[in-house]
Amino acid sequence: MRPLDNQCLGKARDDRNGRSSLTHRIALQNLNPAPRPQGWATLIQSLILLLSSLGTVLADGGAVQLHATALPFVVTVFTDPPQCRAGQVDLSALVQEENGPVLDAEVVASLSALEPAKASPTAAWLPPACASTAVTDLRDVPLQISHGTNRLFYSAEIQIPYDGRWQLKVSIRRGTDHATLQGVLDVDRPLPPVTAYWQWFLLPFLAIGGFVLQQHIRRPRKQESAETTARQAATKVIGEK
Amino acid sequence: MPDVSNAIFGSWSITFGPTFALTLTALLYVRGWFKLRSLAPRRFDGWRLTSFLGGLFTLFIAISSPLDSFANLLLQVHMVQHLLFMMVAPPLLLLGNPFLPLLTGLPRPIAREAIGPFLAWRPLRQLGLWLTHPRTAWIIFVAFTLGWHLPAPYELTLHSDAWHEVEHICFLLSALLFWWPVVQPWPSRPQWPRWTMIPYLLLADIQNTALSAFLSFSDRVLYPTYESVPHFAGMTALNDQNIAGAIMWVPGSIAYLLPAAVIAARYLSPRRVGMAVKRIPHQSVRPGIRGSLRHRVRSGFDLLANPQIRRLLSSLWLRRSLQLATFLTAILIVMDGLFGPQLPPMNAAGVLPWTYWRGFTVLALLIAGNFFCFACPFTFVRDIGRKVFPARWNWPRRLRSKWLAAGLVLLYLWSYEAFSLWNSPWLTAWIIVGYFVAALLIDGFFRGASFCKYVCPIGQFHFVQSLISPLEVKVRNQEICRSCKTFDCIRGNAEHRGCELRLFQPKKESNLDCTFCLDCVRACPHDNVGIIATMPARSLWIDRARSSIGRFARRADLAVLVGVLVFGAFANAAGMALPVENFLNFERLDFDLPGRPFELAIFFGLAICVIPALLIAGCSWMSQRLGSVSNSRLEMANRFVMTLAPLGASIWLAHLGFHLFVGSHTFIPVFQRLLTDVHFPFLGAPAWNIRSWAFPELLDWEFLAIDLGLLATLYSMWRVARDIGSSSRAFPIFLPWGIFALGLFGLAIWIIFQPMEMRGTFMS
Repeated sequence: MRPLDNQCLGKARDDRNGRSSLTHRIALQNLNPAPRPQGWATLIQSLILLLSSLGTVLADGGAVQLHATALPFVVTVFTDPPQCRAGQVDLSALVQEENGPVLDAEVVASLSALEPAKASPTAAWLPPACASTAVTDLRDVPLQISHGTNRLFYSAEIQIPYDGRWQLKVSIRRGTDHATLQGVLDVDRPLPPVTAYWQWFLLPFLAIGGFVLQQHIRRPRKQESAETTARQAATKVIGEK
Repeated sequence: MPDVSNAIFGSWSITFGPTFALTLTALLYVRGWFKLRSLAPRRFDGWRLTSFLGGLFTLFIAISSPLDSFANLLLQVHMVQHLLFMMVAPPLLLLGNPFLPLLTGLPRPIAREAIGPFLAWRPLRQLGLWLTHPRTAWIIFVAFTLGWHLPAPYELTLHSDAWHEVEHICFLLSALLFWWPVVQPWPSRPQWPRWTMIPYLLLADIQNTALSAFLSFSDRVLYPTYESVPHFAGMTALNDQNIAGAIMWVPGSIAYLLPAAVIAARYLSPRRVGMAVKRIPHQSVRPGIRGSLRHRVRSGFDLLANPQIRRLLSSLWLRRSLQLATFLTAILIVMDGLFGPQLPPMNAAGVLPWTYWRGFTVLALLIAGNFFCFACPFTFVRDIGRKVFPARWNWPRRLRSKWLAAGLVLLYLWSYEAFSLWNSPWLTAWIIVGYFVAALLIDGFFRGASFCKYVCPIGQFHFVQSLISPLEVKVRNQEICRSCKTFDCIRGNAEHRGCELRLFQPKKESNLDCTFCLDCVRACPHDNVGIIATMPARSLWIDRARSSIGRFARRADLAVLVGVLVFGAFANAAGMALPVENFLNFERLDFDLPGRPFELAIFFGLAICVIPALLIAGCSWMSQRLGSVSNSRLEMANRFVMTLAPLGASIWLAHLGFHLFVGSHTFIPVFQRLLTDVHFPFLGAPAWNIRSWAFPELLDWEFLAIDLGLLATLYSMWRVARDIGSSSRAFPIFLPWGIFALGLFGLAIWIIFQPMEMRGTFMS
């Protein structure tokens, strides 16, 4: 486990009993401060990370990015892919209270860049089909339970346009209960799109390899059968003579 | 407040890939099981089927149920998932005796040609024997079980989806090996005496007990990840780990001890000797069945074999009804295109032809056959017109080729981009009107189906793509045709007309020029024509003389048509890509060209005609030189260009399928608007902001289509090369063409990765 390296301000209000709002300083665990690779190392590191995203904690919604208590809620925010990268990201949140998971809250997430976009930011690539459906406006994105496979999580597909440090703000509202928490999301450079589909480039070559092997296997059998036929014919001819 | 238990049990993650693979496996098994059941009913009785399907269902539960959704939050859930992978699914699968049913379930050419040589390959058989030897299987299973439960590898799987999947695959495969000698699926033979399976299982249980005891009684959390994730109902990570150990211990031990007890009981049973004597005889095939089965398998699937389906499909009533329906749809499109709003996503002329018709047609062509021509609205008008027009002339001899059609296809591809046909309902409507007029005039004055055969660009598209269709209209039994004296299939008779495209069924090869009108089916007095399953793309490497077509090697016009459609597929898809759009903006280069149509004429001329022609000529020259063959370069080019058809079809499928899915729901608001326009708004106001069926995995399916297209093209090229040269010269002949196909594959991949212009939808 990495040490706490990020302190963020979270606010929580409890107006149920008419008491004044309460502000807490909450320690948020940012568990995913991945170093940014440079140049050609990106590709090599990307390939390694494709199979192994070490340094992240994976839950069903992906990797735990923020975990905080904002009374009366305990909120855990996940991103998938675990190594948060520019491009399409599944952002999900588990909201809990003392009695268990909360399923009837309104959860809204906002992302804003902490650093201005670089002169030439590494733009994220999206599959064309997703380009038409992904959420591109990162202000007040509603997270909904029906979007994810785990029905305890509030989630949404968002498109983070470029890499850098992004401020993530999650607001939870249920009745008069309202809580807001913030954290910093380190977004890495996007992987080259090819790495997401490498298996489809491999498939033809595997099939070709299999075919070559099959031809190689069949050749001796063919020769064998030809030799057998020739031998039988010769035996027959000799026998007739 | 929503129910948490409902939310938990509703957390299914059904992904298409694994579900498709499991369903396909089930279908193959069931197909093979039905075939084998008629041969050996005692070997393949009902419980074998139930067991195998139960094993697949267990895998589905492990992969897709809430177990998977919560596996990374709770170790105990993860443990249950692993038990399903290792203890439940493998023995169930093996009890189904899966080897022969799966092999028999495959299409015969694949089983015999693709898999057969591997199964007969001695090194592979020896490897199989070694892997399924009890000693090897036990060591592999225990090594994987212990290895993956060490903290470092286990943590790795919790940090990475890919490693998690690798772990599951390791568990499943090692468990299949482990349970192999225990279940001993038929026809494998035991390598150790049966009684040795008792210590085999008991020893496995000892390692399981040791591991689960360690998990249960450990006072520290072995996998730190479970401390980091949110906890439920006050359960700590240590409690969770202890419960996981208990799950591994008790049900896990039962899974080992129960079969050990059954084996022991059988071994000690006094009836054992009797059971050995009652072994199922090796030849348990019912007499008579084998012959009939062989006959049935040899004749292949015939869609018209069922009398009801035959009656339905070959009835003129069905064809006319479908033609009338498409005709009325065409009229609707024309009316809306001429008088409706000129924004394509709001107009039937912008949505129905460009989004739906193209997508569904290419899907139907590759899944079934040329069923659009079957319901063609233009031939409907033509047939009505023939009651007025004389149709007494023959089509001019000089035009009896595909040159005109190839030119028209090229003209269409150019005008589609040059005049943005997809973006103009008005132009779309006029094209349809023009099509009706052309069909009416040409077939009104000329005999036969001259329009379909020599002119119609849509028909040519269907003919070429249907070369890869799995169904073909062809004779069932050539012997019957040899004794036929009337040739009704081509000449017709008093009741039914014969083939208007002059395809003589006994000499017909492939779907080329076949409109699936089924006139031949109706006319044949011997009921000897069916819609029969065929190996897709098979006709591409066969070069015998075909009825009304001749040999591919001598049909340069046909090769040009195929080439235009193949390279047109690339140019048409690339036209949507933004980098190509930007490149085509020649004005910035200050060429002083007259306009966009002219620029596009240059682009299409280069992309579809000049560059492909040069590359094909180069390949042909190299192929001839490397293979030292006497065939002319033109003949070689004609034959090899035909083999590019699968790759072209895959590009069309990826491209038009993409439009179909992205614009899947666009017809709903269009119909709402149409009904509102005619003051019949019972569907409500148009909901323009509508979702689509576009899903992130759509691109994977596009890649799969292109992969399959490439492989079919390469295989066809290889067969053509073998046909042209001897087996030793086949590779040099094939090499330039193979590289050419791989280059086209690379180009297709590049196009797919480009940002696309979302045409015909509001989503852009």
